[in-house]
Amino acid sequence: MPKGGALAAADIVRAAAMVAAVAALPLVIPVNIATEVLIYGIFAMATNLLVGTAGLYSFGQAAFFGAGGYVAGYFLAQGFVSLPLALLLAGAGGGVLAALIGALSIRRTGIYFMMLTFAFNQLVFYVIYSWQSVTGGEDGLAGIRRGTIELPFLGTLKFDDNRAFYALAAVLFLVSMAILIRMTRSPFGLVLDAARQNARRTTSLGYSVHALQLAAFVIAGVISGIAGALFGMLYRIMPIDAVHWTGSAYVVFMVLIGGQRSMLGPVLGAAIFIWLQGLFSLVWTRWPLLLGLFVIVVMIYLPGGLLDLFARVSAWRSRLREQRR
Amino acid sequence: MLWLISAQLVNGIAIGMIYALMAFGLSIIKGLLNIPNFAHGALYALGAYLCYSAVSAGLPFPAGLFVAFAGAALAGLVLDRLVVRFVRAGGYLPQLITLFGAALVIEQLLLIGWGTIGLSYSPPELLRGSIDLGFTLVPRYIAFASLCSALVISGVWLLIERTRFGAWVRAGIERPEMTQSLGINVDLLLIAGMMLGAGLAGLAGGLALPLMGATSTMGGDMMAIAFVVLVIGGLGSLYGAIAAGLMVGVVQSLMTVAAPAASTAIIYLVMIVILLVRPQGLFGER
Amino acid sequence: MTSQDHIVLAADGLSKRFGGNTVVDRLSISFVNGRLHSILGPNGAGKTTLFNLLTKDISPDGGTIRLDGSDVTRLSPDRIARRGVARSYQISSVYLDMSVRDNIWVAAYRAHGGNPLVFWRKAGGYSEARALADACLERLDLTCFADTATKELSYGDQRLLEIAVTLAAAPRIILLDEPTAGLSRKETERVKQVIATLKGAFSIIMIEHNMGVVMDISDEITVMNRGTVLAHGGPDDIRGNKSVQEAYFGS
Repeated sequence: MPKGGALAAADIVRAAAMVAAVAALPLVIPVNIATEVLIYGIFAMATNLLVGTAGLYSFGQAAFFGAGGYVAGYFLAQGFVSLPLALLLAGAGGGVLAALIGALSIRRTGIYFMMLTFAFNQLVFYVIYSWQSVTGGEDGLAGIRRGTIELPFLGTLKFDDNRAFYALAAVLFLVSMAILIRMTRSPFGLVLDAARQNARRTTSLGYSVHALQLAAFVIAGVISGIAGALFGMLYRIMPIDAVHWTGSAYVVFMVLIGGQRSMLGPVLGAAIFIWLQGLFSLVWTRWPLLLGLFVIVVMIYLPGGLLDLFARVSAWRSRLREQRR
Repeated sequence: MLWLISAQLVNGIAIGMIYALMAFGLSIIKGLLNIPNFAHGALYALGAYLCYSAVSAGLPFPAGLFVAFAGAALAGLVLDRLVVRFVRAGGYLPQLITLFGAALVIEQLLLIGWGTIGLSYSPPELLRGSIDLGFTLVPRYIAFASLCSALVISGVWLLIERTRFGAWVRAGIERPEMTQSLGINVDLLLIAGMMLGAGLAGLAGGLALPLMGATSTMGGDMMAIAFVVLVIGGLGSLYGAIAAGLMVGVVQSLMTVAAPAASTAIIYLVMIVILLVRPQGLFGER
Repeated sequence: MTSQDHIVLAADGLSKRFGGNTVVDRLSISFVNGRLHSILGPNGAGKTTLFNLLTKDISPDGGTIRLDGSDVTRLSPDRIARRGVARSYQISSVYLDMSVRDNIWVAAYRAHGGNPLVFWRKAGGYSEARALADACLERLDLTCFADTATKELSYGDQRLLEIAVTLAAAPRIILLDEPTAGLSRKETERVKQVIATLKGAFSIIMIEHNMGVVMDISDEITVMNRGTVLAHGGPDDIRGNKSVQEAYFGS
């Protein structure tokens, strides 16, 4: 099929462009900031599986990011060094928590689902806050080491160098992105999208909508947990703020400013958010004011996110070209 | 022990009344404009700062409370004209994020206006000390704050239940699609609702000033709890928030005796259980 | 081989209340295999509620529903659907943010027993589901719109797509809720012909207000009023029934 072939070719070009962009990013901005962009990129893509694809308006995603960060962080702070095991634990931590919270929340819709996930987020926050002996409470979980990967024949991979850690984050980012994009085009993704548009219709076609939504919630929890683990390792501390509901607000905001209709949107959103935060904080100590204004302006004038802006600009340019003819 | 519990009970009622004021404001805004006002905490902080400035300028404390109410109501007007009216048609999540952005702006403006150091204020002479009830001591200010909240809440209740304006408000909440045909200027009604709700948040902030002082971030946790109260009371019930506010304040205060570390977590647990068992809230109808 | 009067779907003593209103009141009705059974009645008679009860979109307050003789009153709506019951909705419920082909694909994939928990394969890669989807498009003359965004279709074409999606679920029993509502005369004629070609191959239950359509193609008609059965019979019986004329035709 020529059409399928052409599509695949376009996908390869896009994938190559993405790899090139990820490789070039640390040359443009400081390497730790670049790492943070990728980590929040992973987190925002996972959130977009819920918000954009499944239409599940979760306002408690920071709980899963935090769960992964604290589980992996505790493991690594205790003197264990296996990075794959730490990431596995983080994913499991985020996933199990998401399964619990999701199983209780998924049947509620609209503002009730939002408020339930928000309340669970706060509950997790206060549990971590109070459980000082394990989590470090208010001061955060310090002493997190980055862990190593043992490879046969090649020896031990270490990530103490920030560029090496960036490479690790880059691999995990690209893998997550590939998985999530592929997932949105799979039967699972298409049916989730259908359920977002009309849950009742989708049920009447024989799909168990709640089970599918729960699966999406757990998948997002696993990926968010892994992102949280990376975050803890990056700064060698898991701050309590990372579990606060404001973290859930920020990640949803990244998704909304980038655009929900493709996985590129949340990545763009995360990049702009982290970059703007850095830029504004250099300019002015009252930088959250600028951030707040930016949020308001984008939400009012670009409800479809930056992807929508690109679409509008290219439509405008093609119209211009036609007029010239 | 009994003494401690009754003292906490009194304290809980006072805090609960402030929660009730906050959540009642949220409830009015949710009912009329159908938006979750995530800038409510920032308006609460604004109220505390305005009250501080008013009393520092020599005004009596009750006048300071009025300034807090009026100033926050004005801020509500500005918020509606500059932000809220543009996102009214959107979904809850975009609305929430937009208002969250507005809260960031307000909080930073507070820091610019009043500086980064938290402010504290002791109540006027008349409201210091305690009233001895025999079995327990009630701090005078706590009695005043509770009474004041109760009066304002009753006043707003009368306004909504007994006046023509109130009839419009009720119509706007119960049959938003009908209000247009009643010949009411819907936009003005929504603005009034936004101002009233915001004003109540400001008043709550003013009342909280002698208890907790004023900091730019004081609104975040207060707002989170106000949403809990709103949900427990029932999103569809205008007055449920008042009873739920009292309940949450008392439960939280009593829990600080039993399990101090868990007192806030318990509140969220209660909210979760209520949402799961009775999603329409304690006082909401299906 | 099932006999001619094999009852595929039946309700017995079915009731549903909303608040103080009894919308469906101890209603008993049965549907015979391979027949087109129309349901008539004034607005508020409880017709759509009956559909919602039969497909378990809502749960009854009392009574039983039997599918092929077995009690399905407690089954979830997706399980009912997987037992071969498909429906169309009165208000179009096509997926507006999808292409026409994807709309049908979602139905066809499940009809072929497709598992929605497949995360890696591409949705387009299932040839059987695609073939079924294409056949359903063809059947309603929608092939030319296959790659069109559904929100760009005219209202009439969206209604046709709604029926195509219902067919793509490859059911044995089809419930059609006002299939010709809001259609032009020409579109109505086309839908009527499509339904006529489905007769016999499927058991069809249809709510419809267009008398021409109902009288022309129905095998059986049940008239409902205030949540109960007012009359039941063939088109000619119903036309001559006095109480029906009073309640429904208002004469």
